[in-house]
Amino acid sequence: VTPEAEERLRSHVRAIVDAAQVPRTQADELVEEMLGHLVERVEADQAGGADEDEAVRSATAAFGDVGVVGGELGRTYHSRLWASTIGVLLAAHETAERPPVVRMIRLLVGVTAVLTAISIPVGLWLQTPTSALVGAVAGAAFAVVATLAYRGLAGGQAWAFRLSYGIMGVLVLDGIVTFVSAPPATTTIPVLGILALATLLWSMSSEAALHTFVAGSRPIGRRLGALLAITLLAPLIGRVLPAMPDPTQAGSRDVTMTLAMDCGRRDSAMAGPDRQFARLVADISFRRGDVLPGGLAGQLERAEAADAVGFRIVAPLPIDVDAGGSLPAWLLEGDGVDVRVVETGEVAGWFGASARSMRLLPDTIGSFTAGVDADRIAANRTIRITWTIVPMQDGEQPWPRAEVAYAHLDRFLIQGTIGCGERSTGAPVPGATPHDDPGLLSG
Amino acid sequence: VNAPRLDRGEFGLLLLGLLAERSMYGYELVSELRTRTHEVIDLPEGTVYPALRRLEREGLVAGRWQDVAGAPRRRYYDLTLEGTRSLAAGTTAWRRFAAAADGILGS
Repeated sequence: VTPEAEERLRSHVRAIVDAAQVPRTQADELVEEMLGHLVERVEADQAGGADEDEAVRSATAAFGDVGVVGGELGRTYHSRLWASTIGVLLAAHETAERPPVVRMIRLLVGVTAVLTAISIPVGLWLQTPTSALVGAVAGAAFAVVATLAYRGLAGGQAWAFRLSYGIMGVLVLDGIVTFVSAPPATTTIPVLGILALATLLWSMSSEAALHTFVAGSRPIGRRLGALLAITLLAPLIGRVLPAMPDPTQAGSRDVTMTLAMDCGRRDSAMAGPDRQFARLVADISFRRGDVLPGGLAGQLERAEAADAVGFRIVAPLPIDVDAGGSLPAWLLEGDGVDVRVVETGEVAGWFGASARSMRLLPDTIGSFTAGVDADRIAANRTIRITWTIVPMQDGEQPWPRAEVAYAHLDRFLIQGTIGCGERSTGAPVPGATPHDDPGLLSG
Repeated sequence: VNAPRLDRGEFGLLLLGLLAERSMYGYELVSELRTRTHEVIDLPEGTVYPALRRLEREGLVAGRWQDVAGAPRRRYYDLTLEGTRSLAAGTTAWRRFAAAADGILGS
């Protein structure tokens, strides 16, 4: 057998072993064994009078199609599940010359697979437990399927092209959404989306060459096809997840805010005898707490996970001051805020707040705020915030009425109003969304 | 009605039967199978290798390389003790099956 003939035989055998994805440690011996078979077969045919070219063709034909023998071999080296999925998806077949556009499609699909794979640990690190797990499963499924498509494209698999068009369609849609939903005064250029659109247009102009390239591809069956199509929804899950309630996190219905205000007179060391004062109390009761509210990353920045609570005086109206602007008619007495766990008496917060939850408080509430330590929040606990306020001006002043707002992380806001001698309950504010900067005091 | 087809288990049983006679290598097994069955059993030749790998993994045959003067070395297969037992059990089961089929189709 001439070296040229042997090379043709070796290439047939190598294609079979590659199609079966035989482990590298065993592939070389298997190639040697099967090559020996073909060489002996060719020599036998030549001895019977056939020329070498004819003998090589006859030997490879009798040996069996790459897909048939490779598939059978794949079932030997891999599990039944592998054989019925990967083995079917990547079944080898003869292909025509690879059109140039395939390289671009593969690049896009490969980059998408890598980016998706990278996003999985990021999501697991940053998101709440259910969102993290659902996102990871969806991301992993998408990354695996995109990787299979990447490999299938090289082998001229028709399903891989259909799936890649779907992936590129998703990239284009994602690019449009990203562009449209960019914050005001900013421009986001969706590079992947633009490349995907350009590649889709290029593919359409290369349709005939692509059709020839995948002509030998075998059908993969409805069940596998449906499974692949479903994974195209995975990026959508990633988009929707942040807006979905996570069952491991407390919702506004799990928290009750009870307000009370007691008003009276007392002697004050600073302001003199028989001075007006009001004690505003907000009891925040949790029926349940959050599990990893800031994801695993949140464990490293607990201060950012604090809740924020604040109030403003809605009556009497603010008082204009000479320097311009206005001040509330009633002010905090010193740093007069106390935050405690009712059941244990331990301190549960501090005057002022700088956590992310501040962005959810209405911008009319800014200075009279307190932070609530996330580590003190738990199921069946009540956090009591007590403010002591006194009139800003001397002389008899109208008794105050206050609006109180409580923000749990940056997720939901509960708000209520209270006057002297009253008891009331706060209500969730529908559609409250975080704003950019916490507002400053406004009476 | 389709012609009967050899499944993987039966193919393996035939290979064990041939190897019970003597050690053989892949090409030789295919040639023997074709000759002894008068080409009734004429599978793609390459399918003998997945079958041999399966039998080897199950411990029914053992492969070994042997150098050949003036030709590529060959991988010969021998029946193991477990293979001998499996062949006996398989042969009994096959004969019972064939006899049952003959009871209907006639011998």
